[in-house]
Amino acid sequence: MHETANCEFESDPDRYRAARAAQGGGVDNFEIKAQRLVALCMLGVLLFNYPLLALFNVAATVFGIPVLYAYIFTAWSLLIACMAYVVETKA
Amino acid sequence: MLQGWVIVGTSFAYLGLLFAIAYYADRRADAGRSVIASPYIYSLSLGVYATAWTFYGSVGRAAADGVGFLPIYIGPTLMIALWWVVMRKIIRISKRNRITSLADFIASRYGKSALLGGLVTIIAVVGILPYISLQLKAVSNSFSIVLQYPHIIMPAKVGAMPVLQDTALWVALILAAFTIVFGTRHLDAAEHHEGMVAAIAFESLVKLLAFLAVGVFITFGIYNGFGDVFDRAAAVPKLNAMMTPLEGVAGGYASWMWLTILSMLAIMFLPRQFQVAVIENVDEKHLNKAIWLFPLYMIAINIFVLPIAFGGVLHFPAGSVDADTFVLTLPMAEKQELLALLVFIGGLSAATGMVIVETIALSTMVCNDLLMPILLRQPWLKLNQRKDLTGLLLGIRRGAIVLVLLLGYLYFRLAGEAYALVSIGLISFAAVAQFAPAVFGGIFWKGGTRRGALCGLLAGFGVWLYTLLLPALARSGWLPIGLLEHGPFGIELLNPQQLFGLTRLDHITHAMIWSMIANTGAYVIASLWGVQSADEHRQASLFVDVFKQGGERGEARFWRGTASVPDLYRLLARFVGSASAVSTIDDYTQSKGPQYRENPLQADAEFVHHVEMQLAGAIGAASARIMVASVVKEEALTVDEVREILDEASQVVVYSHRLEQKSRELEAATAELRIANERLTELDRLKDDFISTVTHELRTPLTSIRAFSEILLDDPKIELAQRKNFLGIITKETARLSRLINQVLDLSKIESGAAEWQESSVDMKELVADTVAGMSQLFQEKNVRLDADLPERVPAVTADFDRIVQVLLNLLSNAIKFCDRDHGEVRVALTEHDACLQVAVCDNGPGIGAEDHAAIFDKFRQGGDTLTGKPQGTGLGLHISRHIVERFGGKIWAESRPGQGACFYFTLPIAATPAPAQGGNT
Repeated sequence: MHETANCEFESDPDRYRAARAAQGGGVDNFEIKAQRLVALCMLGVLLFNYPLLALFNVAATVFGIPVLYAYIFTAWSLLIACMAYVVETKA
Repeated sequence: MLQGWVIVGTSFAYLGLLFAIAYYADRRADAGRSVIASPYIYSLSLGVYATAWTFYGSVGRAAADGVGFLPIYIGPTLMIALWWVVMRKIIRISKRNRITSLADFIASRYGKSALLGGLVTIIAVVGILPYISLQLKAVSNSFSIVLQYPHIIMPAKVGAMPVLQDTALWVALILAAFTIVFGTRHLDAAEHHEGMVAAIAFESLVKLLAFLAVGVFITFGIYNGFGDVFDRAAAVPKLNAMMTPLEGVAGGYASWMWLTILSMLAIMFLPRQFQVAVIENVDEKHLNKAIWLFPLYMIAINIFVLPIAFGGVLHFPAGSVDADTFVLTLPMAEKQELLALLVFIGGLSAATGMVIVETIALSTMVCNDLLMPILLRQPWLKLNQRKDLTGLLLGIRRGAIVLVLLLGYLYFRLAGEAYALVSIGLISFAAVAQFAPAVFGGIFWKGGTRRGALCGLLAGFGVWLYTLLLPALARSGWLPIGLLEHGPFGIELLNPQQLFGLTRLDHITHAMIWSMIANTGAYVIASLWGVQSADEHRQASLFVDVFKQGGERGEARFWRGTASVPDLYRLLARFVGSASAVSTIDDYTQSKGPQYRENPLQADAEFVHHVEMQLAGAIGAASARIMVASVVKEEALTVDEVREILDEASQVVVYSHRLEQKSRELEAATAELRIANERLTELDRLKDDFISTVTHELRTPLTSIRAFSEILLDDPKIELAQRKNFLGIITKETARLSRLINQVLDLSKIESGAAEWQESSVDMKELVADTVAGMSQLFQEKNVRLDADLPERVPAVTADFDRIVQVLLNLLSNAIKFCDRDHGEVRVALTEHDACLQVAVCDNGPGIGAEDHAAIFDKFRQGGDTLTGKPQGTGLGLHISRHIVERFGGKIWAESRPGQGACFYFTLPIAATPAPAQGGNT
């Protein structure tokens, strides 16, 4: 921190922007990714709760696997894939 | 045959390998080539979340209710999506304030309160004990089971065994020794344990591979894939119920939801998770990959849980084998020696990973946030006069590790048998979830106070003790079981598992609901109705606004007082060792420049702050504060002063933003002014040119008028014919003069924008035909042939009729002037071209040189040689025509080659929506 302590962000907006940019490739990029991830979290809350979960709590199988387990693991994998996509691509 | 010595030998070989990895990583770190500076290692180290509970307990839980184990991994997946915002902020705050543990974080946020740090430490230690006991139980159980190979015999109840013959005790002691060697070999000012992180990442790999191996073996070796397992399970009534477990065996959706919330909080606030995710984080950017890699790890380690659970239930007679041990007992029942050994090592790696990180995190807390602040305040210990305290610090930490593990063992003896593995773990989850209001409130809400955090934590922890720990002890027979059946003193409303009559919930959901209400409520209410001290106010602002501040100097503004450099040096040396202290201070003064060399004994605020931060890295924020306060004469800042400094800073920001904006506006205005000024200068020059040209043009006819008038005046005897001739010239020149003046007036009107334009829909065919007809007399007089080539009908254009006639007249009269003297020929054509009407006027005169094509439209420019030839017009006609045509969106230009005549063209855009009535007007 020593070398950066010489001047403060308050007096130097460019440095502030540069620092924010260093976090994730640009202020806007960083913000939009944050918002997308929050949206994905909300989607996950929706997917893994009543009432959506109740739709799959039925006695049937897909390829021999009970529907509920097939649903949970598929939705879970897709959610992770979406998170990876959001994080790894440019906004 | 798996003999005792094989198992013990393999276990120690494995621990030895871990140690070798840690040692190698530490050596690499010292050499500056860190092995853990990778997002993959960071993600794997987060896998310390999967403990023996995951390894053995998930299957146990799945065998009981099918889905109950899943929220524990889905919750973190949801939470980690928010890490981009939340965890990044916590990491940034922790790095800036050199936070050493979760307790340090909370204490530091609420005014570096030693009391709060101590409370958090106690909650963490008490809360985590069941969790540690779970690891001991898992390792000792799996050891006893695998020792009986090939027979499958469940271990005896712990209570039946003398303490010294209890495997769990030996496991606890060996793990304590191992952790001490691992985590407290030396004191690191930054609290980084690179070796440990590398070993943990390796352990994550081992347990994942072991679990996948056994999963593949059971699913595809014993059974024929997933479908087969589920198929056979569906035939068993007990397992069939688990195909649709929600609402049935697993309890309602409320249970599911609260388990999810609980594990969302656990992934952030378990001390070991905080340790690997925040304290051991070497680069914020590693978060990005971890956000999807870590959930991927969790899904991978859970894929085979259900097949193993169902396979176990199908394989063993009901009740003969504990479902928590299926992972181990299934390969044993199939006589897979090596696989059983691999599973045992996998379980060992899951348990050791958890115990190592957890106890290191807890020992740091116990040392920095519980014991040091107390010890440093004891005058009789004279700690302030001890030269070197590093030994003491290490001693305390080592003692704390042993103590935590022995307490974990004690809990195991007292209550370990009452619950399955998962339930024990959930009790710990519920304890650390109590940190959530204080931490989330702390980083997003400046209003949270120390008193609020204290009240919230005490209330939440109190409810946890009453609704979870008490029943656990009662079930183990240490308290009368009647407590759970009828409530204390027979008061039903106070029943610990049905508090205030809240029934029909499982005990974890029940405890979470009441403790979160109590915790959050107390935190918010006490914060809103309390006042913040100066320290709290400052820390609140530093935490919440961490992304808005600069480097360390930001914090130094809050300090006022005097201190001497030697005092600070001695202080630092006592805690981090003298060599380290010298290099720290030297580095700092050198980076600061000459003012320190001039005045080497007086430390300024920034210097004091720097030392405090270094110290905080070693002994925690609260202790560091106490120590620094002991050697400097500090003037306490009042709340108002802190507020003033903060306001000042924010005002400066606002002011500088405003200034920046003002200067941008000014720059823009200056640029506009410069352009306007250039235009003005240009116009001024043009005006001068114009006046001199006009006066010149006026003088020419005036001169001839005057000359002929004087002749007539002087000589009355001039012949009549001569006189007539002279008078004719005078009349012609006067006409030219008035035409010139009219055109100058016209031009000045057009140029100044004062001209009146009467726009209407104009039929160009009619206009051209009329104009040509009006001019035909003149053409005949001059003996010039005029051809007009007009189409049947053309679309209308929007223009001023009279002005366009003026343009056409001008072109026609020019054509007459310049066409061939003897066989004059002028052709007028009207055509339609891409949304424009084009009028062409061509003559067969001498033509215009290419260099003049553009210039003839300038003022007072005429075709031909103006010096020798007689001027034939005013030189303003084409210029005015150009103005008119451009006014209506058209273009005017000339095409010619000398000797082949000249063509003048002008275009007018066709009206966008011509009315049909006007089109048929002709």
